[in-house]
Amino acid sequence: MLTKLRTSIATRLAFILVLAGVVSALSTGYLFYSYTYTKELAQSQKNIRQLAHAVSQTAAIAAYLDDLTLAKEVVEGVAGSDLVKAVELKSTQESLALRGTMPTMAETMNFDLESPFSSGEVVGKLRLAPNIALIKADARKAAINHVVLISIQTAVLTALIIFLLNTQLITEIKRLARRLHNIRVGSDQRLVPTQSHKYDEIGSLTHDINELLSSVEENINSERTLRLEVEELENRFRDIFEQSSHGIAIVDTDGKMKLHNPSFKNIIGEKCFQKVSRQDSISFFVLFDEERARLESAAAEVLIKGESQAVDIKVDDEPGTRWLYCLISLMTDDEKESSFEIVLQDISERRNREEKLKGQAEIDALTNLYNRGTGESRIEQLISSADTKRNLYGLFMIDLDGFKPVNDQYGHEAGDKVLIAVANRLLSSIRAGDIAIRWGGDEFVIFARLTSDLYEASNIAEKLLAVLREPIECQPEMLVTISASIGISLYPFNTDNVETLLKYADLAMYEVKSQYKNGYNYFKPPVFKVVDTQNVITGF
Amino acid sequence: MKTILVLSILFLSMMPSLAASGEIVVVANKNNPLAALNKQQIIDIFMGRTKFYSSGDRIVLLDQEITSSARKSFYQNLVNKTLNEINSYRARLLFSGRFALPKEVSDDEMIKRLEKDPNAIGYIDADKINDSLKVLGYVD
Repeated sequence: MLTKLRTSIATRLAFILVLAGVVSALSTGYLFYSYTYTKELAQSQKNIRQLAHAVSQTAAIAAYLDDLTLAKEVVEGVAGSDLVKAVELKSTQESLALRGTMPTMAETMNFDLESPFSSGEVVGKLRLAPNIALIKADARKAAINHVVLISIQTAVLTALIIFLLNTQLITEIKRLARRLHNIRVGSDQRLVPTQSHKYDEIGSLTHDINELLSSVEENINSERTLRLEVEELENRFRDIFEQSSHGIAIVDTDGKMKLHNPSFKNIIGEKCFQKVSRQDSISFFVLFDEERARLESAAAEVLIKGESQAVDIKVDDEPGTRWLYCLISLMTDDEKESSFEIVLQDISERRNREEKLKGQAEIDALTNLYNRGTGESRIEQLISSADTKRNLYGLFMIDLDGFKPVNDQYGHEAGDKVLIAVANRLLSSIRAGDIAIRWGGDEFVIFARLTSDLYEASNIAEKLLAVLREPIECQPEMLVTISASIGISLYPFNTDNVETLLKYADLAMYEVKSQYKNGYNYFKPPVFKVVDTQNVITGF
Repeated sequence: MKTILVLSILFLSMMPSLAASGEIVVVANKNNPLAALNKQQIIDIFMGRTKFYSSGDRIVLLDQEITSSARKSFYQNLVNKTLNEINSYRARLLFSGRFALPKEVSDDEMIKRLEKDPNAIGYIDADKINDSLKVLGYVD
């Protein structure tokens, strides 16, 4: 019952209504009881008074005449009423007639009888003793009847209200509640309005609930579609991320790795990956000892400028030396927290190819002369070919004097101009078929064929020294004069090995350089035959 | 008031001849035991309260005829009641058996009976009385 009171509106309403009915019946019953009781008592007194009044004239005559018969008649007549239990008619002197037992004066109703002929003269007294017990019983009965009637009326009304509430309201609400309970939210099921409630509050409630259900369904559907779209997009992005050949990782501003794709692991290598992925991982930026400074400064730059920075870093560990292109970008997530996005690309192959290509280049970019490697192999080709085998050649190792001060004083551009001018003068001083090489820095090598004899080499050296001494315009209106120290070795007179030939020329040049400069010198074969080349050098 | 009334009755009874013409007076035989009556005494006699003389003899009442003007004005003056009311009153008393209706007579018959019966009391126009009768009282 208590549970029912909590869970069922109908029961609760019925309970409250019955309670209110009982309370109302009790209170109005009490009021009506007292009212009716008092009223009935008063009515009885009034009736008695009227009764007395009705007989007063006859009673007065009886008293006037002291007529016992008439008096008896009057008393009998009055005594016939239930309302009185005793009646007495008295003249001024004596009791004329008495019926019943007369109580004391105080408990009786007394009426003075006036003479029928002279007003104001009291000729007797009519005393009536009300039948109080009967009157009270009657009054109580009437009051109880009244209360019973009211109670019945209240009960009927309460029952009617409960019945109407049930049929008009509760049943319909229950039906709605049950139906709504069974509806799956988000489905296209709706409440069906009852015809009789179509235009009242229940109808409008039904309509509003249906509207609500519709909007919920719509929301759920659009959310579902959106979720599918987001999922698809997510999958696509994940695929891009997972399958990218670029290594991608998100690290926080301390360099701690938060996210990475498989390529990232492959590119930095198992060993490095172990270091950054551990619980107490080290920062990505200190991962490669050699490149730590560059990575850290790039990261700092990204933080300050907010622009991406790219660094090529060299990694020297398992599975070998690799070049990595590392692009660092700043990203800010929804919570305004900054992270670094790091994109890695293994560019070892490209880098190696570049290195190789650089090595294979034949011409020195600045001077347009053969570079050292090409030049050396050209000399090899030249002396190893059959028809030139018996030719004489001189190798001139040329080192510029006073080039460094020009470079220091007027800058690299001026230095480069000097080098270009030197190269052009060297080229214009040799014959076709001779080889001019930029050996490196301010060193040049000329490998020239000697057509007559060994002393032709001296002429060539003289000529070279002369053209190099001509002033050079290293800047507009700025002329500088340099000179050269030249060491000469002779093929095959000194040796037929190119490497050794170069070494001999170098030694000869060094002698000029260290003693007087602006001159040339032939390589002089050692006096003693020694095995150790170091001793050869010190032997001079 | 009472003294004045008694005095006036005594005065009037001594001078019956002074009674105004057309006035109704209560009369009886000269030998009637009663002397003068005041109005209350007349009422008690005619309304049945006083039925006996002190000697024990019954008072014999005489009424004028029902149609006479004397009867009408007598009761009107005495108790201020119409004849119908008086009849109704007397009818009530009849049942108890203690009251006999007065004999209804004409003026002549009234005088004749009064002269004959000293216990009879009646009322008549003052002009009609003779020396054999005495006036007991007036109603006005």
